[in-house]
Amino acid sequence: MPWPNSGGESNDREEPRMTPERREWIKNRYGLHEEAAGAMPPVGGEEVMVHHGGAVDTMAIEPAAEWHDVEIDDGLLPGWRLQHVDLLGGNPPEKRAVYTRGEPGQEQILSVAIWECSSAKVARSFLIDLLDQFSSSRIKRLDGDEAIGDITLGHDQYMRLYVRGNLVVLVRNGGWNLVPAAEPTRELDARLIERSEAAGHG
Amino acid sequence: MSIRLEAIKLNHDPSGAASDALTIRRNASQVVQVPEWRHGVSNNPEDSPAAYAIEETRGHTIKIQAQFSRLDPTLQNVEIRAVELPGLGSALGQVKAHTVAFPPGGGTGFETFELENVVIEPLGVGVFTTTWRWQFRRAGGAWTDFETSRHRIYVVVRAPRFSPWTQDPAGGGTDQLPWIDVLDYACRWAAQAKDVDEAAVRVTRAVNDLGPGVLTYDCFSGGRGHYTNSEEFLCTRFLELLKGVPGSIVFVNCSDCAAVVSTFANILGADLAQSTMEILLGGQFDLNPVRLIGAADWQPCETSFGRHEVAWKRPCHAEDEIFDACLQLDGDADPTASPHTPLLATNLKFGGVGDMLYRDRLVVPAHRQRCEANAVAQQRRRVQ
Repeated sequence: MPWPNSGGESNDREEPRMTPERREWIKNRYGLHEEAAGAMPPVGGEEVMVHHGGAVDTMAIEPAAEWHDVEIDDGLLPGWRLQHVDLLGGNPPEKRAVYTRGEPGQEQILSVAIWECSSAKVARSFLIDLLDQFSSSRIKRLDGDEAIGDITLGHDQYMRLYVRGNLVVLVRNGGWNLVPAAEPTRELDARLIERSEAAGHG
Repeated sequence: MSIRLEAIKLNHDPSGAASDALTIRRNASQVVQVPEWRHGVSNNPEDSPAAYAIEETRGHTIKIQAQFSRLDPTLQNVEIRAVELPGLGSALGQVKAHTVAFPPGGGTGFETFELENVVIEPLGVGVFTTTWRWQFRRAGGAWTDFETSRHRIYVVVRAPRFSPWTQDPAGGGTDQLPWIDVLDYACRWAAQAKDVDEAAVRVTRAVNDLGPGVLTYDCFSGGRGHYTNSEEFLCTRFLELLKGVPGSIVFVNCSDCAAVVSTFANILGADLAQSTMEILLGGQFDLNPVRLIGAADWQPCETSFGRHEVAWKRPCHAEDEIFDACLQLDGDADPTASPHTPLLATNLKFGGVGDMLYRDRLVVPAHRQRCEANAVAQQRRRVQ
């Protein structure tokens, strides 16, 4: 006799988890509306309106950088040891790595998650889905000197979440010995750019 | 020695659990081979694990199967039994005597034996060691010892058939069979529980008690899970944290706690999902004073949530009960102000506004109406 209602039930839902109104609220909260002037950098490959005095012209933006099959290794975060990488399901799948630095028992721990979306446009849409998974009111959009990539958000000094091209990257602390996230995130971003250029992308 | 015990099957019928052990595996990467006990291989109890369900076995005779070879060619028909060596936590009683006929080749097939004096129901949920001393006798003769077998026995309330766990590998995937590595904690956390609600309550308490020594609420990253994502629960990594593996992440959020509670309770037979409460049209809801997991005080690092996820009895509506290990509520007449009486939400309904149940105790009065149970969000993440 087969087991009833056995495990492995699908997480498929007929209705989306996030209501349209909630999605709109997230967009407003973090300035992720594409229509808001200056709020969202243009996605590569688009044409944008450029004003020259009284004249309006269109300008093509260079295609956004793209990454495929990002390899997570020790070289991605120099000075840190890669402990392990997990591949989690989702759309797109999530590569989640743990890096450590320092002596066991007092080590600093960073969790790095990378999502490779099918395009820069999809990455921006996915960012909204991802932000719905955070519960804190202290996540803020970061600009100017604090910006990394195309769109940057942070939670105080210990978390950075950013979009660059088709990548969405999340860097968080995982250990009792905290480390500000900005510098390692910039290091990571620089390595990703190097690898993309080396591969002839972007 | 005249007879050798070659092997024992405790899970000899993978299609059921009324008269034998459940189908289990060790963890994400290791299976449990059947026969669980093998001569020369199974030296310690943990080498021969088995799990039994109280509800499914109630009223049935539990049976095992054992295989023998004879070393004395004069032996043809003998009675074989196993007596229990009483020790702390014995559960499976004795193996009732059964006549075994040795074929000309000297090796038997798997012979079926009944167990008697099984006490898993009075003991309740737990982890036990059963030690059997195997004996044989010829007709009219005295019993002679010939082997000792030891087994690690896990007792659950009900066969785990609600996700992520399955007893049907074909349906759910073999990696979602119950893990011994999870039973090792779940059965100890819920020790002596006799029903699934009691088991879930004890699991919730045990998870909350992991703070602050093992883990604490993530005040530093914005509240997204370190052991979960939208689809999966990193159960292997969480077990590493429990075992003290260096480099394990010490921060958890509500999704992590919800996944741990529902996964560890469901392996004992509960039917909990992971579901959320939120303002469906968007917004943060302000919190009454609560004590986040691992925190010493009632001044939480987060004073509002965009969403909060808990273990929830299905179908996860307002009238259904919650198990929340992530925080303690104020359980007194006024949850909005000090003094605070710690209340861990276990089997507590989400409730309507004014019911002074979970919702009213978590959310400030001004936001209670807007903070709703989002049953559409319910899920039971796969374990990895």
